[in-house]
Amino acid sequence: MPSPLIDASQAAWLQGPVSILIATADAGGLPALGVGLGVRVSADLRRITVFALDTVNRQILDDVRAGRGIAVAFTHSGSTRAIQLKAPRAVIAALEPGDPARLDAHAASLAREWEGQGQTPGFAHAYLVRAPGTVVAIELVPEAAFEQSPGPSAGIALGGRP
Amino acid sequence: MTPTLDAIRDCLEGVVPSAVATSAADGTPNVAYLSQVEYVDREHVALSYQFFNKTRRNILDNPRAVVGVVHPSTATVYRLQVRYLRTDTEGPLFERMRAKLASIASYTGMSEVFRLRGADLYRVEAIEHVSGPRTPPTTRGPWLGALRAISDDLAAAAELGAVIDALLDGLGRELGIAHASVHLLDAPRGTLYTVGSRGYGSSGIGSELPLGAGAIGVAAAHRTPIRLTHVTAEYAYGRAIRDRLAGDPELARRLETEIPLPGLTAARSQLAVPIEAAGELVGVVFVESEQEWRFSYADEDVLVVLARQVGSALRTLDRAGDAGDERAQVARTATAAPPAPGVRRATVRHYAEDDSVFVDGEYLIKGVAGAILWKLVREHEQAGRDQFTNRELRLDRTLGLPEIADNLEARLVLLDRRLRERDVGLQLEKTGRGRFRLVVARPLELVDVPVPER
Repeated sequence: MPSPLIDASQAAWLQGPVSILIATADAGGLPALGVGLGVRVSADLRRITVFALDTVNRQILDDVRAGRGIAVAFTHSGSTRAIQLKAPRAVIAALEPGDPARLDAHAASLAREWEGQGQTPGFAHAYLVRAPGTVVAIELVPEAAFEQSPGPSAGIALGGRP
Repeated sequence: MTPTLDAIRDCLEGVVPSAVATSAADGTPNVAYLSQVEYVDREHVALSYQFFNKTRRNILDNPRAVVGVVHPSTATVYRLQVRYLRTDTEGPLFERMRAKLASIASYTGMSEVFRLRGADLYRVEAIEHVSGPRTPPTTRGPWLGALRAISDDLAAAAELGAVIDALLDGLGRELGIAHASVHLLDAPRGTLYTVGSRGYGSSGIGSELPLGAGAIGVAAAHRTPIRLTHVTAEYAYGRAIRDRLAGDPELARRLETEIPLPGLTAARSQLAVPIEAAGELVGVVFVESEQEWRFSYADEDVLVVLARQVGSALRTLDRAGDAGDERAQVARTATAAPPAPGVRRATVRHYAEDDSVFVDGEYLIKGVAGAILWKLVREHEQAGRDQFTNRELRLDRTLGLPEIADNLEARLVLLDRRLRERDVGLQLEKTGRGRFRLVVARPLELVDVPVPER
């Protein structure tokens, strides 16, 4: 089994005050874009689970169910550091007991981060809207990871694999 | 109801970064934040192309993309389904985006990294409201009221100087814009000269800048509004003009550099809007502020409309000045009243090389306005005349006025304002349409310095 694409410090960074974007594409080549509400990284660093609201991400969930590829980008707005993970497929799973607290923690940390950059206190919570709808878990095992910070080095593969 | 692109323009300001999802030919998705999403028109946006990255590769293979935008105050999220059409590497859209990108880059300390390679134009095929309160329709009332009030004043202005004053005063009164200036085109010389300003320690009337320099020069050269929400050094005038002059000694010789341009040293927001009439550039109206994000799309809309009214008025009034020609002969025969006795003599020195005029050793003006002043004082001294007409100036080929669109009236306004500011004992006084009087308060001594032999 190959080693995980991310190390422990990168895993911690993914679970910090970063914004999460999710993308898929349907069979006709139409991309879909969604906002992630939080992330869980498995203890062995191989499995990444992102959370999203079902009602506003129907195409993403359809694409995942159809066995299509997925991309998830994590961006820290202060430093503009970004990491993108890609997997050829993902599965939709139920939330685990600790996940609701994880969602709250993500919203709170992003709110603090953005407030520090001059946003109003409620902005991050308004952005990470969780209702109406149900939050679902999208689980992927990344097969590619890229450094995506703006500049010529954007797109450099992490974990020694392209 | 599907939102229109116009209704969500504020989401494109870049306060909250927008994101784009694309898909490679093999179906692998990609998602990235964007530096810039530019509103082009009701059906098109342009995205900045800075690097040949995955997004770029993908859209060349598969033109379909989805752009996510967020409203800066409500956090409302919209998705734009877009289709890539083409990439502009020059022209108004490119220049507008380049100016904005440079300002973003300077703000984020990434000037070296952020260079615009192209403006990728996309057609917006669908807009989806994702979450958050729907952006309320723009409140048009206050903007329209302000627009109308300024427009009323412009319509009432019967001469060119009054048009410029009505605009500058109206911007301050109706829109709270405290720092503003108007610059008119000198087409043959490729420069813009300042004819009015508000909110600066010194008015800068008579100062010049080359086409292409700074936000004003770029707006003029490409005839597109340049709106910067956090100003960069690249669009600061001192540097932009120095760079231009360093590479063009001929321009350096011609350009007015004695009079400093009006401008804030710590501007954070700037908006330069071309003044056009009958499909031609007339000048630029420029506003700025020490506050970031000061000027919105709505401000740009208002200024674009006002600039067009100003353009039409300037063109009309410039020519209307000739209407009083029938009475020109009467004016020609009138003689000047002598200055009061005992007043100190003023030495007016004219340098033929660039038509610069100095009074008592103090620089006053150069170029066409300088040539006009020299003609007036010469006629005054030699023929005892003080009454003049626009028409005779227009017919005088020695003044260097262009054959068409000579902006004579504008140059007289410039000269008049400069004379008033310097208070050298010379003034122009309008005596009727297309006629004016040179008021000489001191005895004059004229010194003409011919072009030196080389």
